[in-house]
Amino acid sequence: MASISSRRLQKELTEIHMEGCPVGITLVKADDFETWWFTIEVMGESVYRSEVYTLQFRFEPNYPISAPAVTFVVTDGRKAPLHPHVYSNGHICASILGNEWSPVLSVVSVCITLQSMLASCKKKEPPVDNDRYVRTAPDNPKKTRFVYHDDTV
Amino acid sequence: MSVWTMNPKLQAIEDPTDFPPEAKSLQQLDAAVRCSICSEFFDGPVSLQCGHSFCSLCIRNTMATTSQSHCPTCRAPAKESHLRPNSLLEDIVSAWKPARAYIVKLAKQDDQPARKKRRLDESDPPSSAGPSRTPSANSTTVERTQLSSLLPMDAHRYKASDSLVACPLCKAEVPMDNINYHIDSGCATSLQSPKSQNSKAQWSSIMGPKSKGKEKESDDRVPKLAYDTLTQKQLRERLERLGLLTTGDHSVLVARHQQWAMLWNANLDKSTEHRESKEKLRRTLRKWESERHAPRKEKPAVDSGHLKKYSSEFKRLTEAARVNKAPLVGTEEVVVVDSEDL
Repeated sequence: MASISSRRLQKELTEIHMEGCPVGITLVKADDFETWWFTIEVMGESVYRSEVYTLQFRFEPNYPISAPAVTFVVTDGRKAPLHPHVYSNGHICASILGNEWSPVLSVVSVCITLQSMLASCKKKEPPVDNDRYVRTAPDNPKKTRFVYHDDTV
Repeated sequence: MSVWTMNPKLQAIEDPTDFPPEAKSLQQLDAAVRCSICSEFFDGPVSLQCGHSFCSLCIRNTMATTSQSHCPTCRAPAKESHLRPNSLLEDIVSAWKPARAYIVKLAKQDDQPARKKRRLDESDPPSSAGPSRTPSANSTTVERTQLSSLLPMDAHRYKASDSLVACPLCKAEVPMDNINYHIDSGCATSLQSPKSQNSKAQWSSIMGPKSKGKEKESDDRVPKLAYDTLTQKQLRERLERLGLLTTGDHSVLVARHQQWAMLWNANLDKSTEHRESKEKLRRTLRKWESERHAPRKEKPAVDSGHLKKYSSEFKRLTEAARVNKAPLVGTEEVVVVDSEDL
């Protein structure tokens, strides 16, 4: 049912407008309740210093019970960060976007998690199986069954 | 430009930011009585063992959809059987809804210049009229009305002057006139002191019939079924008994039954006055079913495109997997032997 997700997203949007996003996170567009764009930037000392990335959220009608599909935007000159858990097609291997998603999480809390995932990265390198994955990856990362093995970054 | 600014209708949504930032505690209160899944006011709130509460339907839906068995907030293990209706929370929500409308109105007025004047007015009465008088007068009337309403019918038989004696057996205070009857009945009679009788009788009048009725209804909870063991015919019979549609194939029947069980059981977590009628629940179910079938049309289109695009790749992988299968079994066996040796 569309109204559950749109009501919840409406509230999240209102909160973003009233209280603003956390530092380094900016709302780019939220024209509907299906796709939202944010930019994220790692603040402070980091290998991603002063690099801005764009995140795309896609919501299903039963959000927040089902996780949003979150990817880095890799079109129009935008690029995905070089990170061991981020594929070059923008897909992100993070457990909270998969089997550890919880409906109490929100768009902003996902942004913060991804921001800290980038912040804690010490060395810019692609995922080991990047080429193989990108070649056959489905359009929607939620159709991929990731194996979450690395808790360090 | 966002939906938020474009559609004025959507701005009508209520959320904690309705309160001014100075009233942080009101914002907190407003946020506290909202379900963290749907961010609406709790609708039939239930609590888990860890103490976190959600709308009954929200948490049931989450547990069913994601097959997660932990609390969404703290990830403590949780099961559907752990859900307990939280009637206090429900009462708070139903009291808060009208209260917040009133407070929001006041807060908006407060933003206008009249603010200063009203503050002055408020501080006036204590200095002139004297604060002690009104409350004390009030409290005596309150006490009186409470007392008379507290006294159950038969308690009026005892006048206040009736002398009480302590029962030699159970030590309860019993009116002198009734002590023999009390002892004869093995101290079982509730004719102890009028006071304790009052409370007891009152409790039973509050709890007795009401809780009985509730129990009777909660017996009607729709249990989860072992759907795989039921034949389509049995499933249809079950649905028919519940007064639901019996059309569709096995998966449709199962989904319908599951959804109905969720709606129905969630409805029973609400107090009687907040419950929906069966007809309304049926409408919700029908709406859910029609929406569930609608987006199905889009999905295969995306999938087939994807399948086509990578069909050669998939074929190659399938071939490769087939070839690899036989030797893999062998290595697996070796691994098992190894682990047993250890």
